[in-house]
Amino acid sequence: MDAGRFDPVMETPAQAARRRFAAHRPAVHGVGALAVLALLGFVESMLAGPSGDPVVRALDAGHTTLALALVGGTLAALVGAGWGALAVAAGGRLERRLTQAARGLAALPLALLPVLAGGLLGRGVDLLILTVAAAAVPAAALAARATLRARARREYAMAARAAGLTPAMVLWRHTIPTVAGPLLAAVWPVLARALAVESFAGAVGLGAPTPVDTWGTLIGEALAAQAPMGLLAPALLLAAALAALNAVGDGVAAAFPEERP
Amino acid sequence: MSAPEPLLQAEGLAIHSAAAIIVRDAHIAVRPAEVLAITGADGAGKSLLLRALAGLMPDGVRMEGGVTRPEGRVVLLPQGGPLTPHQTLAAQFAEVTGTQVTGAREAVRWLERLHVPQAARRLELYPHQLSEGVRWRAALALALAAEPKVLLADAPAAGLDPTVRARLLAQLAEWARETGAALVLAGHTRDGVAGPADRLLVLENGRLNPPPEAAEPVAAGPAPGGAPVLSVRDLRVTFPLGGGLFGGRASTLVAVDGVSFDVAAGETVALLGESGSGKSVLARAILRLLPGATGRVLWLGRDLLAMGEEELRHRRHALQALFPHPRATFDPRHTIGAQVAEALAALAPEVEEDKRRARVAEALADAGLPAAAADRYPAGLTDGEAARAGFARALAPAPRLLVCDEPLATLDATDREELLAHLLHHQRADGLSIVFATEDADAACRIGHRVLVLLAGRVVEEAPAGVLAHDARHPYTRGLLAAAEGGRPALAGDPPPALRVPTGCPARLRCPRARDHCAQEAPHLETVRPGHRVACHYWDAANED
Repeated sequence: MDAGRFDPVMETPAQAARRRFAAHRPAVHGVGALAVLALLGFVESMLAGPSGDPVVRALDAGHTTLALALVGGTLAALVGAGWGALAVAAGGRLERRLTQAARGLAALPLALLPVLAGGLLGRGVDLLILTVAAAAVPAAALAARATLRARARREYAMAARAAGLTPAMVLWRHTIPTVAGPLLAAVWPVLARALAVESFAGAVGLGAPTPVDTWGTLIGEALAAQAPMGLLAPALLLAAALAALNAVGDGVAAAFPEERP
Repeated sequence: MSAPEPLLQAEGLAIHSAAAIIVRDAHIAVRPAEVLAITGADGAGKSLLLRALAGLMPDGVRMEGGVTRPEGRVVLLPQGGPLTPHQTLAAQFAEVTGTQVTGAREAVRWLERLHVPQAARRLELYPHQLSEGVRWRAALALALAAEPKVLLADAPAAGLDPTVRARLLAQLAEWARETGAALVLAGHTRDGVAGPADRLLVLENGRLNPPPEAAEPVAAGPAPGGAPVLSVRDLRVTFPLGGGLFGGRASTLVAVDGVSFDVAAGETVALLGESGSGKSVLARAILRLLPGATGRVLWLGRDLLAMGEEELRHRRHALQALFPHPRATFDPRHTIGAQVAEALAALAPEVEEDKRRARVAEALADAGLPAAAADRYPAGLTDGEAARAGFARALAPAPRLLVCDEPLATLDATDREELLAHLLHHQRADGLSIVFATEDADAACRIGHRVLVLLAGRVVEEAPAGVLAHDARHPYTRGLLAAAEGGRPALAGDPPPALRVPTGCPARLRCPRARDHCAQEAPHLETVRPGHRVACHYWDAANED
């Protein structure tokens, strides 16, 4: 029997998620744009243009910038997802306390955290990543908790218990795989936030340490040197990367829609 | 005397979109003071038919044929009873009646007629500040205040409790008969629209026909005797409700309060109650699927609440469950076959791998599913198929007790009868004991041998099904029975919220018999006759309600 690819009845959930993502055109273009932005630096260094040119430097800084945002964002997403999962698993009063703490922290201007750390403790890549991640954690925790709350306490978990599965089996076989996709969609905006926070720190001159170029530090340099043409390339690339990340996030969210009851 | 001219008439009405013909060649005639109900499955085209009758076709859908309707006096109440979110009720009534003063007067008159307490105070509220029950009453009152000659209501009061809904529908029908208006109610059979109607039409495959001859409804066999296999004693389930961060007062919600009953082998005990009565919590607590249960649940003499996790899991093959929303009880990421097999592997590990596959196929076929259904994902099943898959999973390990929590509430009448027949077939063949929680008094009395009526977590009446159907003594039970028959329940207002159950008798605020004494003391179960007990101070009052 042929498990037809376009038969909606026989489609596996993974196939359905891929189809929905592919149907979201901006997300597909976003993936392409991010790949180009990350790889352009390598191409540029192979072509070996004049090394002081602002456009060349901006293209070169692409993969560093994206790598910093990716590491910081992933760290924040992991911590935030753990925070949210702990809150939902605990329930009751502890859940309320954890959520209120996240809400309170999210209300602070956390984008200033890397700037503050850079000013007080000196500039360093490790410190930058940690503070960028810390700035994004509360929002990730709130998003993760909202998603887990809506999706994890489903009837199927109770039905699986009634079917004789141990709580650990229910968690590993059913709950975690089912919430993984929606959780990814929920914490995805953290990546864009990390990129923005890191760039802000760079732009005010307290981002990545001197030999390392990111779009943020290039913007900061151009501002300091009052060179509007030097501003153009990194600013446009940063805007493109943020737009692409958000578009991909929309696609991931579209891939895991709310199930019908 | 000749019948009066129809107020609303459609001749050869056809509705079609670019892709499909939705309704073909429909003939409808509704006379003054007549109530017509139109039922049909999901997506049968009921809503579009009502819009066509009101002359409000959406874009992209065309109608043919003639509809005669009275000039300007046709009101369509759309699905969900929408109110304008940014306007107070007073403003919305004023819009309908023309002036503020008449608006307020009319509003209070209609809201009070529909039993909205303190109607005048609620006029200053916005729709989101109203409870679901009051919101529906406001939507209906708004439609009635427009003094229509023809009222077309799409699934009116759907989603409310059957008692509340049946009363509202009966009041709508009363209004139509008093004023000589024509009333058309559309909805599922489970929405109870057929109850107060004079005539019923069924929309199926685009055709509008009178309903087919009803098949003999399934009913339980004679009650078996014998010692109980399941004994529930003083079961109490509480949920802690914590205070806020800064030390609000912690409280507890008592969902089930001291319930005791026995189930014999091959017997069905029905748990009947409105939403919030505790029947679902009770059903789940019996199988220890919820924390916070105290008391005793003796299965063949062993207390399920006291035994260890491991021992309980070894006994679960005999104790199976069906849940509401059958599709949600399956993990969307695995096929139906895999999940039935997983349950069987966990419950009956002694069955070998290759035999297990045969057992799964057998269980699915037994539940009335084709063999191909094993490879389907839950999202690819209809409601009826998902319910059958749930039956297959529960019955595959050959249980001896099946606890059902409203497993059929979302199904159409045909599917529901088929699955009830299937359940009773297993009961006869295997001596299955059943605990069946439902809000449908008709189903409870048909398939239950005994019925426990629950209100606010307590049993308020308990009797053999045949006795309860004809001689119920508690006003609440009588309300549930009237709602199931499509009559007008004598219970006023909405069920009390779980945290604001009145003192004394929990039914007293809605009860036609309530007197001062009911507020002071909660009634205890008293024996009416052997096997029939009721918790009402005035159960021997004349049953005028």
